Amino acid sequence: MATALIVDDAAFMRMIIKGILTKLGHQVIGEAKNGLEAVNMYAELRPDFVTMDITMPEMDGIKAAQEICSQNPQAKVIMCSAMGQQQMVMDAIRAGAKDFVVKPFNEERVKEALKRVI
Amino acid sequence: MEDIQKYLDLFIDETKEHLQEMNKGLLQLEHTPHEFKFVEIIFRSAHTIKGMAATLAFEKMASLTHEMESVLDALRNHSIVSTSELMSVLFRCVDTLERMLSSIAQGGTDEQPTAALVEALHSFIVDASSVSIGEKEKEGDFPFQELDQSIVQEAIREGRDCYWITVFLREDCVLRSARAFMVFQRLENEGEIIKSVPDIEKIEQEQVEGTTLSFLFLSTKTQDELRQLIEWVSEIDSVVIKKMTLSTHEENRMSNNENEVYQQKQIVHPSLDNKEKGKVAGRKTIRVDQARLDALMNTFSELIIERGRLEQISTDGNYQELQGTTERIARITSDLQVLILNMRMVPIEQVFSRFPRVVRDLSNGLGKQVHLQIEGSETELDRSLVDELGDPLIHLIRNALDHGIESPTQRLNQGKPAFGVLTLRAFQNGNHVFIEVKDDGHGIQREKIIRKAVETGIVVLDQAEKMNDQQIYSLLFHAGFSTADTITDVSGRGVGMDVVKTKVEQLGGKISIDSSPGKGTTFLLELPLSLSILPAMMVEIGIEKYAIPINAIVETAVYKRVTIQHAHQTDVIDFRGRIIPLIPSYQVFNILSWEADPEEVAVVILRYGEKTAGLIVSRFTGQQEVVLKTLGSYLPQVFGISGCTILGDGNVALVIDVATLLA
Repeated sequence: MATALIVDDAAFMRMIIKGILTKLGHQVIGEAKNGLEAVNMYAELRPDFVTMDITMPEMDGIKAAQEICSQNPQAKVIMCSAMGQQQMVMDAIRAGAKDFVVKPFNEERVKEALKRVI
Repeated sequence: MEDIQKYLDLFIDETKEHLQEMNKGLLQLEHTPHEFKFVEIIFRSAHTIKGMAATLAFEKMASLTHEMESVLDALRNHSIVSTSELMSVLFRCVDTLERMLSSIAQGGTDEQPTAALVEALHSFIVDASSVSIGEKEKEGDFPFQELDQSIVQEAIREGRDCYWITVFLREDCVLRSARAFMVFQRLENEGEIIKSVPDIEKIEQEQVEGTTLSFLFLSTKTQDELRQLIEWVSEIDSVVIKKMTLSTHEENRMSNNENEVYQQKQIVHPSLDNKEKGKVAGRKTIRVDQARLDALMNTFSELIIERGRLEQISTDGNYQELQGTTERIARITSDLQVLILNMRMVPIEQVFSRFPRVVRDLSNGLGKQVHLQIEGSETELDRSLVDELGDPLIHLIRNALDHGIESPTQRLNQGKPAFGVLTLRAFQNGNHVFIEVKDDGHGIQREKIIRKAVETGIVVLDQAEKMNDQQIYSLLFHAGFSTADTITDVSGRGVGMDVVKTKVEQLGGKISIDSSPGKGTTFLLELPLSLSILPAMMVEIGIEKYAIPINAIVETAVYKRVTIQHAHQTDVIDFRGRIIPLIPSYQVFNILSWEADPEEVAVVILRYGEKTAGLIVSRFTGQQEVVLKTLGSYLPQVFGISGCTILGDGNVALVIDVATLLA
């Protein structure tokens, strides 16, 4: 049971992820629709972990992950990537993200990633 | 019923591709036994075929691939090493799979004898396990290099442990480079990575393709700690950690030597085109059903017909606006023509890909040592040409291996290297594709050719003596010619070169030979770049429709029956002062609906090379552009017909092969 911040510019995706996380027994305490919001909300809410989409307006997921991780070394950010975003995933890992999950999500993958991270 | 057929078709296509991949991978593995990425490729193809076969209930195929998987898995786990015997068995397995597929494609089953092969496959694994594998602490054989060795020795003396770590990603892992990166990063933080396969550049450039990662790693951490560290990363299937000791390392040096000896025993070094290796990974393609491309072509050719009529109407009626639009339509359809023809272009690699295997098997069988070099396999040509070229090229290759390249001893005696070189080169020039088959064997012996040609009655001795080299070489293309002293199973039967020539010419191309005694022989094929839409004259003979390529027509004329003369047992006519033969088309093509007009006879005057003749027809029905299609595999070679075409009204017209008709 952990608290989560969900970051994705699509409301639909946020809903899907929220569903999966809730089913796995976690509590979604915040939803951000771009990187800037994510950084601010992280500081405010201090969730146990963050799921971060990559392509977003205002500030993308990699930048946001970098911000959050450099300000909070203990932050646990998991990137949500699409198939063609391998290079960006590697950048995010370098920036401090802990793991990544490839879309479309399935419960098993998310569960596996969270197991390591929390 | 139709559904199953669709699945079957796809299954056959995909399995064919995977079998090709397996052959290619096996050849590469044979060439560089320690490059495990090839094992990965072969494993993956076997695995995929297994899955597909099982889905369609082809049990025998599924179980054979399963057995192969076990051996391949043991190989990539380094539980066993590859030997020439193992490679042989794997090759034979692929052959059996090909036979199964062929049988399935013809509506049969996957029933093939596999007991012996399965037993052989089992024996490799059993042997390995009896050499105390036990736990993961088994000493492995690592392809050490000199520099690695000294670093490792030093580190071990300093009290650090040296590990050889193999990480297997899950098969369904999509972003493999990213996972590899994570593993690399975690290891790097806890020690020193001396060597990684793939290396970090490949990882960072997203070039990780397989699921196996290997690291030569120095650290003070324990095996368990390392295991925990690595398994923390998601999507990892398993981790194998082997600790290196100094004595292990000595053994490895010895096992490396074994590898070298093994390489020298190899008879064939199929060397793949350098350009092929660096094939652009990012080329986006889409699979299109060949039938659809054909349908597109057919519909387009009907469009061409209507365009012609439209142009006719617009000039006749003199509608200005219509003329403008018609001209634009003509331009657009020309562009469309180029686009469609280009869609049918495929790289010649599809034909070339089976050759390394052919060369390997043949040279083994003939006791020759041959190095196959392939160049220009990215050269593109029309799809239908690609289908037809396989056989003639294989024949030329067989010929070069059988008659051209000498045995290793003979070569050494001449001061040549024991390995003969066979080069297959494809390139484009202007409107043509050229394919060169070149060997560095003993070339064509003029005297031998002359002797054989005289013997088989193709020429008379004094004729032959007067011929220049080129003309002598062309004698090889005569039917019935063969200079094999004993008919080898491969190419000595005297049916061959002439078939190759006919085939090439049928495809609209030419073939020529050049040779240098003692140095080698080169065959050069010249083929049209794409199947053109042939301008043709349409005629009717009886009620049957025929198309005659316009470039072979001199004139059309109507002759009065009384002017027909008789000479040399054929009817002849006077064409502009020359006596030329009349070809009774209705006899040649066995046209039952033929009705001779009592007064007149319509004739199309044809010319091919030096020969001219008149072809009797019933009537001329016009001109149009025609797309030449082959008669297909159901109809064997039909004399005088090069193919057929489908007309705008849906009828089929046969296309006349002027070359053979006039020969």
